[in-house]
Amino acid sequence: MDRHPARALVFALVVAIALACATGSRPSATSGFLGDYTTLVKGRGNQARLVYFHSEADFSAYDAIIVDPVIVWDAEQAGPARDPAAESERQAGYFRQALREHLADVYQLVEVPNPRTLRLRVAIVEGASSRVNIECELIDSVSRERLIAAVDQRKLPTASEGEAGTAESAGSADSADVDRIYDRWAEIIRNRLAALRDFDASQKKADSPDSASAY
Amino acid sequence: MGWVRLLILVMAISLVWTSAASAMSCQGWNGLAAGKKSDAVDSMIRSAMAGQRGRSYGVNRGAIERCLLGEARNIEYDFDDVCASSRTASMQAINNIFKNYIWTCVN
Repeated sequence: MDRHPARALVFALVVAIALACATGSRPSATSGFLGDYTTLVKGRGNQARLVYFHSEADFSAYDAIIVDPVIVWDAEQAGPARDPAAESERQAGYFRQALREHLADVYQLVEVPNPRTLRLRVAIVEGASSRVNIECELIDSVSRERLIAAVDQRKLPTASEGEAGTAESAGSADSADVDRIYDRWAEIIRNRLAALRDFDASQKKADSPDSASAY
Repeated sequence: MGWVRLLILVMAISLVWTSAASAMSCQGWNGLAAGKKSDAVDSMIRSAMAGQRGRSYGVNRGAIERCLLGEARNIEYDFDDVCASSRTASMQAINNIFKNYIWTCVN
């Protein structure tokens, strides 16, 4: 029996505040899809809005990739959208197909984890109809170590926004604009992964006993 | 037994040679004069671009190279920083910084 109810109340309040702070570490403009956002930093130059890049990873160690189905994510519920708009589902399917087509230039597309296989997780975050939001994460398919993570956002061209309001109205009016944004994202992801893979491969070659060049 | 000693000597020399060549550390970077550092960064950029095979699927290598050359001074400063904080940092540490710039410049 606690003989000091006021003290117990203060203790409970402190615990509640501590828990609120711990769970509130997610940046306000993120959806929860990536889980841990603590390592992401503000992107510079042409990078995404928030990025994490594991520069010590050997990107030449991977020759295959699993592209998970793109998820339509509800930021308010911090979970997959229970009843996603038809246009959002169409976009998710389109984006995954664009990713697969671009990444097939660089990697073998597979479905089963393997030590030489990457795994790409992507979510389209439902939000304002004037913007397209994505969060993505590239992990080692076996160890699940995070190699890259990004939170990004693109504004739809003003002229083709159509009637402001629902995702449906934006989608039906602007699907070509939206698709171009997904195509571009898929292209950037492919180009960056290819560049990193080629760089790491060239460094391995330079480090091989047959080579005597440090730079 | 003379040939065995000779073989061991050759193996030892080749081991030292390859180790020195492959593990350019901050000692090497810090030993460069200021002008030579920018030459080394330029050389690193051109070498990295030579190893890029992305042209086959439309990667604009010229644009990436221009971006990296535009960042050359910052790359040099970052190398100086990492080598100032850890004089024993290996080529890997320098490569990791460089990879961050590649990541930034590729679009």
